[in-house]
Amino acid sequence: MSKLFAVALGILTAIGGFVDIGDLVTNAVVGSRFGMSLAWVVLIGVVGICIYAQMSGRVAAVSGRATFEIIRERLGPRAGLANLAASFLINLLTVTAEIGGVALALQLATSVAPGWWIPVAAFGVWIVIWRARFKLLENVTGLLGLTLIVFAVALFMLSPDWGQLAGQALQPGPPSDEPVATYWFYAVALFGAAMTPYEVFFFSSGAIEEQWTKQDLAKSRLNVLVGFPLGGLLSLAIAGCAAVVLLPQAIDVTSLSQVVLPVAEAGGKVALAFVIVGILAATFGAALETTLSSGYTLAQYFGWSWGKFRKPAKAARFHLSMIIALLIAVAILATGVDPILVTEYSVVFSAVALPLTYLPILIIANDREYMGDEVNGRAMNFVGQVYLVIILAAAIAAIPLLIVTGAGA
Amino acid sequence: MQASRRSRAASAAASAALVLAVPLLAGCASPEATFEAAVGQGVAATETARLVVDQQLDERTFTTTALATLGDARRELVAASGQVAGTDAASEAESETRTEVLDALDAALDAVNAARDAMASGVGSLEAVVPQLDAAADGLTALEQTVDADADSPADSPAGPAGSDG
Amino acid sequence: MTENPDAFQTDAAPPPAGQVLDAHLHVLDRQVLDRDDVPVTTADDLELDGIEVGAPIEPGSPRPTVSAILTGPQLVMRLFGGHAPAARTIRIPWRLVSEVGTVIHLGVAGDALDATWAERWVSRHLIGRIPGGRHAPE
Repeated sequence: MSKLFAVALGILTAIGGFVDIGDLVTNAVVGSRFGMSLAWVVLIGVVGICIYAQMSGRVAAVSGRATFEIIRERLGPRAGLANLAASFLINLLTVTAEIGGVALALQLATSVAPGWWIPVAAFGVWIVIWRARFKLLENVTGLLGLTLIVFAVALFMLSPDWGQLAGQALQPGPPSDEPVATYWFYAVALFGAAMTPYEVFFFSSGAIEEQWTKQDLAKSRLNVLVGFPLGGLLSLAIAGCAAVVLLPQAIDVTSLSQVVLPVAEAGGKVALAFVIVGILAATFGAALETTLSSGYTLAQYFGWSWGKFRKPAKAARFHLSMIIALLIAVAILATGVDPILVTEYSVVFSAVALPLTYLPILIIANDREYMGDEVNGRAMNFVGQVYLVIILAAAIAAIPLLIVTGAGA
Repeated sequence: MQASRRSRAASAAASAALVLAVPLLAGCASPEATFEAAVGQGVAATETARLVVDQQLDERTFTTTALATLGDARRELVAASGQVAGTDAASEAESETRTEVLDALDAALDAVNAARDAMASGVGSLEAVVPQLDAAADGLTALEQTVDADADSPADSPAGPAGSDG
Repeated sequence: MTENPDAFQTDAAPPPAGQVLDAHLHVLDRQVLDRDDVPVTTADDLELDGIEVGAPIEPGSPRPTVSAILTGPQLVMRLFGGHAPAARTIRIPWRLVSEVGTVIHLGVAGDALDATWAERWVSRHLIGRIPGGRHAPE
């Protein structure tokens, strides 16, 4: 019985933990401007993140080494450093976006301006990382984030024309009033939002934190293969709600307050309460994960002692680098920049950075010295290589599209 | 290894330069494109305000959330106004359009402010703001037709960068 | 590190016993752990004894040995070139190494080493001063 409970907990946590501010904003923007015509990107992204997370978890569990330790060993210090610099900076951008997201969600609940919440949010993230145990941190935020299911409930309550939604989804292509370049820009952004790089650092380091064995690997595979697709459905629900309520009114989503409009429309105050709690939990959880990822990447490259399982005094530089990352995030947000804009940039740059971490994982998953007999099978390699092509295409197209469309204006 | 690092650094610098170019390029848009974008922004903001005021009157939302929503809508309208006000009109017609757009955005801003005041401090009634918001929204939507038509067939100004459709 | 395989083989001596490692592949950039499995550093460079950079090895001369794992500013030197003054280099004498595998294990506790001074400094003066820093997480 407790085994079933553990399995359920894992899956539910994966669903709740799948959505972060990038998914919330990007899916809502896409739904309000393109309807469901970009749904295929979510599908591709979900399959991709399943492969990616599963491979990195397997590498960590079997080899006992976390991502950045292996990147440096296998690719050499120069390539590793370039990789580290790019990954760390983009991770930092994501931390900033998530903390901004927490502040925006708190504004929805209290009407106090987000500027006041930013230091509170950053402090909250720090104190949880400082004191709370890894598993507890994951479970609480994951389960609370599950309340985002209200987006799916709201979609049903809105009694949409399912035929019309399906029609949009099955006819990929920009609607008449949006240029093609913007369509593809948002395709890349949506892809970057689904396949966030920090997921890999976090997943593989978490495997070491919790000292996974091969049995844990099977359990994690289940969490990933069931939880992430359900999380993907949630993303589609967010887009669907926006498509049904906001698209007909020509409301292009530019703020978090617009993201929740359809939920209030469908289910009133109760639904709105659930969704605000869900957004808070999801963004706070993602803030924890991305902050930890910044610590993991630095510590693993330089060989520092790291891990939440150690007391902070025994992993001093690891904790110091996370504190500095949080301070930088607060400083960026203190300039008054719109957190939604930061979010949009973070997902696009995530798409740019994807090959940097994906390729090494793919290489190492085939390396017998690390993996022994657990190297990738032929099917996994085939799919892995197909995704490598997709990821490279998205990464190369991202910046030109960003410029040509003026960040999707 | 060194060659690839150098080329990596070069491409990183190029990307950085290109990313910085985005706001610069955006600033070079033609007046028609700016009007069209601003009106679109205005419509989105005003419709958002209408929707949330509706929800508040129906008690389907929290006052805190509604106030945050109106605040965001107001910020959008101010930004749109600012963009339009900063354009140079090259002809009599453009100058007229610019005035029309600014007036419509101002009307919307007034309505949103009235809604905010009614909700936050009880100044005036929220129901009374509804027709004001409706009128502002209608005004902007009507303007959208004109401005879209102008932008799609630019007579004397060069077309803006790709993205002039919306 | 120049390696002339013939420098190590003579007709009279038997092949070396124990592990044969490629220093670049198996030692460099590996994680160094102390005897309690606490990370110390990564092996940024290696110090070789009995060999001079750029000078050819005379046949019959004594074999060069690895005398220490280097860290500190070594990584920057390796990436961009140049040599750090001996005073700034941090050495972990090779005799402290107990095992070489996917990681390098030392036979001593990390706290006794120069290589952990940065960690100890940050721990004592920054992290340790924040309340709760010395406790394990709940």
